[in-house]
Amino acid sequence: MDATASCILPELSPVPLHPSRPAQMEDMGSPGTPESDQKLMERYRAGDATAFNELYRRFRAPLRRFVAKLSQGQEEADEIAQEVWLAVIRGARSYRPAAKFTTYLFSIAHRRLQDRWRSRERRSHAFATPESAPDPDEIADDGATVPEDWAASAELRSALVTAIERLPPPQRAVFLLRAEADMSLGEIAAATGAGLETTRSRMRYAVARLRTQLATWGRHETRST
Amino acid sequence: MSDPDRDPDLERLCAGYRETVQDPPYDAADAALLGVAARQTRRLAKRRLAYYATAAALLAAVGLSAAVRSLIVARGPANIESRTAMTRQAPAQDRFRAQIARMSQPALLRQSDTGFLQETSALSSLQPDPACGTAPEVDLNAPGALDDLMVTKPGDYVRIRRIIAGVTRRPDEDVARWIGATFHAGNVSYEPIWLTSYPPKRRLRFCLGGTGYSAVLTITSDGARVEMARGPPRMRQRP
Repeated sequence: MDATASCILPELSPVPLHPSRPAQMEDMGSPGTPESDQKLMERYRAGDATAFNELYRRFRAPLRRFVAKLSQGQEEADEIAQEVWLAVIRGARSYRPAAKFTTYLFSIAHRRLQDRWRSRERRSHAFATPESAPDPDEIADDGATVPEDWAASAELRSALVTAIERLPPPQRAVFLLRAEADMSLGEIAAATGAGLETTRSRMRYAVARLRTQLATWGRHETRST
Repeated sequence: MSDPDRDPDLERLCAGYRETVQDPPYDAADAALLGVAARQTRRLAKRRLAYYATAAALLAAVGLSAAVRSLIVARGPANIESRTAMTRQAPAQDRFRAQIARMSQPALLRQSDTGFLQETSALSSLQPDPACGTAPEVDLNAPGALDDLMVTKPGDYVRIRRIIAGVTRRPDEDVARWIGATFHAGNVSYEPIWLTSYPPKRRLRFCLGGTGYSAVLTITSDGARVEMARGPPRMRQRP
């Protein structure tokens, strides 16, 4: 780590971002509660650099993970994440809190990812994953349930991550926006630029696929033991 | 099927996902981005201050001219000569006002637009630029070169920080390919400098978005770093 990193990073304690991110984050600055993301962005626009540090601390990890799960390779993910933050810095002057900051941030990320997908599709059609008309057997509700106790099995958690990586990119994006940024369907629709019904069906397909794949994993596990 | 917004399975899956993931560690790119953000804040504050100062000067000039005009008018119709002089002054005042208006807002906008276009063009350069060979080269070892870059081309600045942090993490013969493939840089060369120096040094050259960059990197066990070159010795001036 270079000298710049060492002089800036001590201010940023490695607080886990999303998993413990409180739901009252959107409260508008009542005493004792964390300041809302929009307020922080407005403070940054007004010239307070520490507000940006706080925003960066909150969303650095969720954004990086979101981008990493939807791009090819860590280098490309780092590049896209960097472009997103630079866009936020450049756009600070014209930022208007019309929507939640998460919607603003992740919509930039989603647009950048879409640009990459498009350019990749132009180069090779192999990447195009069929999103519509999924295998009916695959998403059939066969009574499979999603386990609740994730802490018990590392294999189960790893199976979940693998199953997420196997989702078609649009469904993966919708699921990750919910899991990483805790966005509602309306916010996800706004961030991805898709219609609400499209987003809803993508989420349904994503959950059904994950449920089925985890049930398949459970059956394999039971057989092997 | 149920509404996915209220689906308990979705909540369970999200909980499982959050339990699985970990925060990636901080690295040089994070520090570079935060540095860019802080520098941008100072730049905006300075620009805002300049804008207010110009606006205040403009208002003061307009107010002063109005006061002078009202003073002359208050002297009455007898003083025809001064009224004629006032009429003669009016176009000059208008020119003065227009000049101040030109100096204030549009100039700032033009400046910022140019900067923004430079940055976006640097970001969107996805292909190696064939014009790199003729482009002027930025010496990153020059005093203040990286700081200037942080202001003028923040995208390039963060990329260069990532490049410097990454060169020692891969074999030397792979560095040029890595920089070209990851950062869409052209004309990359990464050559040892044959000097008996310790720690060893290497010269890195590449081209990003039409601008050529070169740096002498000092390679240590902690990674590579760009050491600032000493300027030419200053001549003491006689009083």
